[in-house]
Amino acid sequence: MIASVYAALGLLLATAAIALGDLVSEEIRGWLGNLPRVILRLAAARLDPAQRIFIYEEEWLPELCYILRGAETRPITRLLTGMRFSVSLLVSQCLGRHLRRHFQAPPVIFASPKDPSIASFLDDWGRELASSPEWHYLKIVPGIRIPRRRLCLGDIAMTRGQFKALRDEPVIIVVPLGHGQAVPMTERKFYEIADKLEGLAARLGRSTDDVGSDDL
Amino acid sequence: MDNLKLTPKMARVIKIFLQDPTQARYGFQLMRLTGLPSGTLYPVLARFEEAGWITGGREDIDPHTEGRPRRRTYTISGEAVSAARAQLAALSDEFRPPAAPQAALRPREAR
Repeated sequence: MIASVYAALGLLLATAAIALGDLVSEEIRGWLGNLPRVILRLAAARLDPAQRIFIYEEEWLPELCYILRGAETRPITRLLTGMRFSVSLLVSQCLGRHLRRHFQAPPVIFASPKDPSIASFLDDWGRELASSPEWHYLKIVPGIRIPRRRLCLGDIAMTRGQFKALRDEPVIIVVPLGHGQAVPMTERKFYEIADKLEGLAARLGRSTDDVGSDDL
Repeated sequence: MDNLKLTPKMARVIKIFLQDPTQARYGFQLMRLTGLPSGTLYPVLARFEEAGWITGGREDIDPHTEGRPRRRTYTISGEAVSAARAQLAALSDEFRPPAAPQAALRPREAR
């Protein structure tokens, strides 16, 4: 009699344990399935608000949904691929934000140009930069090659492109001047400088690529 | 179309577009083909798009049937094809190792 009661109780407990196990595994599956989306949302929160909706909803999320819905055949592989996709974007966004904050500092030092018109232009511009809180002073970021001695238009364009890749504000361009100081400027200022350099190159009878900071 | 100076990572991406310039590519597909992680690939695609080298589009599916949103497609623009080929050739020249010295190729004389 007692044995049959114990057997029934055991059966009941085993059934409850199996049901509970199923519920727990379903809960974990649900959580894990959402994890790549949660991480992707965290990465999107670090985007520029103006770009956030487009990049997250039109570019990143559809690709993640594609990955999680069947780009890979096995569920764990799908989950790992989705995690890798989201984590990589989160890391790159965190890194970009960290760089932007870390290199924020007001002082800007210019080389001393010999051409008085360029000198006064740079001086005015320097005061404007130093007094304006919206400007970020970007030092030379490790891993980005900036020629230190020469101010060359081609190099400026390349550097500008690399900072855009970090999804920085579109106005920031870094130009190496004189002794390796890097200076941020807006696109408008860049073209103003470019025009002045072209004028200087024409006066010196050289191409703009041959005009260096020593000639300023 | 803006002029871009290709970095090795950008070259890996644009090379895939050049394999079939008419074919639209997807982000995950490009990750697979280039071996670049998403955090590297998407900023590269953004640079190409800003410079007008590639154009974005939408995947031609019915989201309700597929059960997922339409993905973004990327296609290389006609102008960019020749510019990309020239830049890849220049990059290849830049990284090509120098020819081995002639002496090293000469067989040793039998003693």
